[in-house]
Amino acid sequence: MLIPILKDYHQQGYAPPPRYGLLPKFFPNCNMAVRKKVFEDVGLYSEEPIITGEEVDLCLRAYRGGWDLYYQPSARCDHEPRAGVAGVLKQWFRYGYYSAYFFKKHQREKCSLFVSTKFQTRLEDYRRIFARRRFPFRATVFLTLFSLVHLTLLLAALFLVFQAVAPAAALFALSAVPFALALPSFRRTVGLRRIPLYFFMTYLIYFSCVTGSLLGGIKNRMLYFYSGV
Amino acid sequence: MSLKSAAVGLIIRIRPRILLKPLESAYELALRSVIRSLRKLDRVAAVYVCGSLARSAVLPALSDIDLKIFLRGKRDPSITEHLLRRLRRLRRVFPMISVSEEIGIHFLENFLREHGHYPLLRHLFDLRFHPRKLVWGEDVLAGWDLSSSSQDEFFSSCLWRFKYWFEKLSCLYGTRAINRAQKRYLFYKAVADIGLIGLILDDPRYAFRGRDEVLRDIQSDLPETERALIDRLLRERKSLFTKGLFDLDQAFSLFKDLVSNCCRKMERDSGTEIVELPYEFRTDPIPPERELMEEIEKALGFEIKTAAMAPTYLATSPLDYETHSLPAYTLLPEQGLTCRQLDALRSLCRNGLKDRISLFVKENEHYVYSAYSHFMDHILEARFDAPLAFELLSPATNKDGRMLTFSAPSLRRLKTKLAHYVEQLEDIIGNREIFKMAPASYFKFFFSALSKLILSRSIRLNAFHLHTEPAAIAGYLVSNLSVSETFINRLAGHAADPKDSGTPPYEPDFGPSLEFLDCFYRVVLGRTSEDELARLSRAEAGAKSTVSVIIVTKSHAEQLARCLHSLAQLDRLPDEVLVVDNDSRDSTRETVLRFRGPFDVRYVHFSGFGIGKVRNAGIREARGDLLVFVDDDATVNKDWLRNLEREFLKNPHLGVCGGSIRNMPMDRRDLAYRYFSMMDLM
Repeated sequence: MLIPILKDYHQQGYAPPPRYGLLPKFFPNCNMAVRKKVFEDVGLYSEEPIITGEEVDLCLRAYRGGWDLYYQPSARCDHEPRAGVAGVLKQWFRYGYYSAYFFKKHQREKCSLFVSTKFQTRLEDYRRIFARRRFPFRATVFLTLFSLVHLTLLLAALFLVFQAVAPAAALFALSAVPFALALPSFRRTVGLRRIPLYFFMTYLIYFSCVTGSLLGGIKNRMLYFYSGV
Repeated sequence: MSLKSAAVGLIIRIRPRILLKPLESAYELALRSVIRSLRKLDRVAAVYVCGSLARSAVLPALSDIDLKIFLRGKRDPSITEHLLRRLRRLRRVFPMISVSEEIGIHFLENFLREHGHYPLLRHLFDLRFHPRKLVWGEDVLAGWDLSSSSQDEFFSSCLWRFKYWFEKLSCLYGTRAINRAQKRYLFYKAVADIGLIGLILDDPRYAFRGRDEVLRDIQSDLPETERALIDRLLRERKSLFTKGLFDLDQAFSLFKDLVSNCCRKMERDSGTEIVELPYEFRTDPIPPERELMEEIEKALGFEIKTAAMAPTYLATSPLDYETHSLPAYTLLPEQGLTCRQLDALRSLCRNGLKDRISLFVKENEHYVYSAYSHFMDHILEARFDAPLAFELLSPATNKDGRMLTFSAPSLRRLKTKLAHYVEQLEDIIGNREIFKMAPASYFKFFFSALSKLILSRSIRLNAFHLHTEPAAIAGYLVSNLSVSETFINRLAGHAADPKDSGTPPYEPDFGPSLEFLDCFYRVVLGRTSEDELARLSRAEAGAKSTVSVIIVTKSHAEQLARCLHSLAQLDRLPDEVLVVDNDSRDSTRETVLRFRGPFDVRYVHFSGFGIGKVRNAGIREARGDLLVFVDDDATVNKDWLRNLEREFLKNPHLGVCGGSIRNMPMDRRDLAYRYFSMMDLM
């Protein structure tokens, strides 16, 4: 659900405890075996009207119910990926839209802010830097380098509109920090020739996932921001 | 000598108030922040400090903060982990908080149950030995009568103390993890401690008070030889940190003299015969090479720093120096070891580094029940003490697996130890960490537990049977308890030829063997009859699980047919396959009904929105114990189901098992495909 990255996602072995009691190492439902007793013990799949992300919920509940989780890469299956830009767009919209429900259900803190400083962000790279039990409204925000750069630039642009040049310049300078952090891995993985492809797809995914997550958040009455990349 | 150590030495010598005051307040601050951090946890009942801090004799920059934390309720590895994590985090700011070794986390319920027959624990909390100060919570130790203990218990505690110092010193002597000044200080502590034990054998007033103070106090009343020792010790103490005069080798010989003096004294006082411990101290231990460490770290996937403080579960005992000519290292991993990491370490020692390194983890049959993991080290700490181990292993007492002679005090001690071990076995069997062990380590544990149980059973019947080899144990069980021969021989076969995990196929008999052990344990305690054991072993070893494969589909008839065909090629066929159809608009129904394969395919129709509801419909219809979900647009590998099922057979607590997913190759011109392969996300 959260990060559909399949390659080398896990190491063989028992799954560690969920981070912050919330982010589990989960297994995609595409290839997963569950003991029937688990369902008797912790209940069936959630019957909410969601069409993705039910496995994360199950893995977390199974872990909290005291069951072990194991990843066995030698049990392999080949999966047909989604074809075409439109399919990917739709899929990422769903990832954003339907994951809001999970955080509403399982997050104990009313507000939490996760930040990742990796270029290729995976679930285990997120660090929670802010969490409060008491907060005026329910909020879960995931920030990546990509979103940090763009948020600071957006703020700088806002200041410019109101002709406050000094804070705008400061923010503009500030946006160089996440940009500089991302630059080495960007140069390694993307390179010069594929920059158009990178920005085209990244903006598409970003746009669809953020739209999905914001809408999903509104549906679950919370502020939910998840950008995916 | 470096400038830094000279400066530190100078400061300690002159003790200028103005410099030491902030350091002392740092200790205060560290303690306060520890309490502040720990009191948020509901289960913490009390926090004590021990050692120099409790005596209010802090040596700034040298003393550490030793904590004893008492938690309510039963033992729980997760809360221990949590506590240690908190303390480690604090340690980054306050390096004087000791985390790895000296810290004691005790669970009240277990503590109360155990401390009755565990003299050591009693001494650990004996006020005379360890001054303690309550810093937070209610004084849980106040009501307990800890000070009264018999002479026997006292001796065994002293022996433990010797062993403790020996292990610690031998491990730390050769490392570069601590500097010479620290080593000297450690030797000073050891010598003083052992000396004081020797003294209190005569006069209990002088137990572990401040070392200097007591030594000065008693100096005049001592016989000549010991007075010289103490004299020298006190003299050297002054130059301990500044000059390199304190010769480590001499210190160790001094230490050895003291230990043997104490042993003599104990023998005289109690009439017990104490075997001289043939500790051979290595004076030329080789520090681990950096490449070797890196190789190990790479193979195991976690970081190891060379030992600063040897944790008990990885400390190589001096007893092992006799048997291993290769250098023995003490490793201290960053965050303790889990079962799997320890198993990986073991297999690495066995295979990859066989001729370069000796065993890291002690595997000596009698001496060791050291931990299989740091979660379990509390419950597996039923060690035989060193003299007893020697007696057990010496050829005079142990001929052909039958013990001929045995001295009365040793027998008493053996009985106590065995009773203690048998009682702890319940905890071990109940601990689910055990299912995560590699087969090799598991069967090692299994057969050593059996040998202990056989020993305690035979002692009850006034015959001593000590078997250590799996084949001999199997023979004993078959002839004396009419256990099924095929069953126990199969287990013995596993032990003799352990196949490591990761090389399928193997079918470890974890479940049935543990049941067998549980039954045998109850037989030894007299709770079950011996017929039960024979019956259990004859029963078929575990029923096979039944597997249902559930495929959720919607309008993917073509891919579904492909998926079903790949399922038919499996080498372990599912017992049933359920296809849950969520309002398909194509020929899904016909595809399923038309499919002919080596298993039944059932078609379930479900209409409604929400993936959870659809899957639940499948789960309600499924008849298997194991439900395997696979997508309709996926194909599976030939050994897919066998690999998944094996994990479930192995560990009864395993709830969810995931497999790996690879993407099928696609059109290279597809933008999304190109993007994801560039970002290495597929």
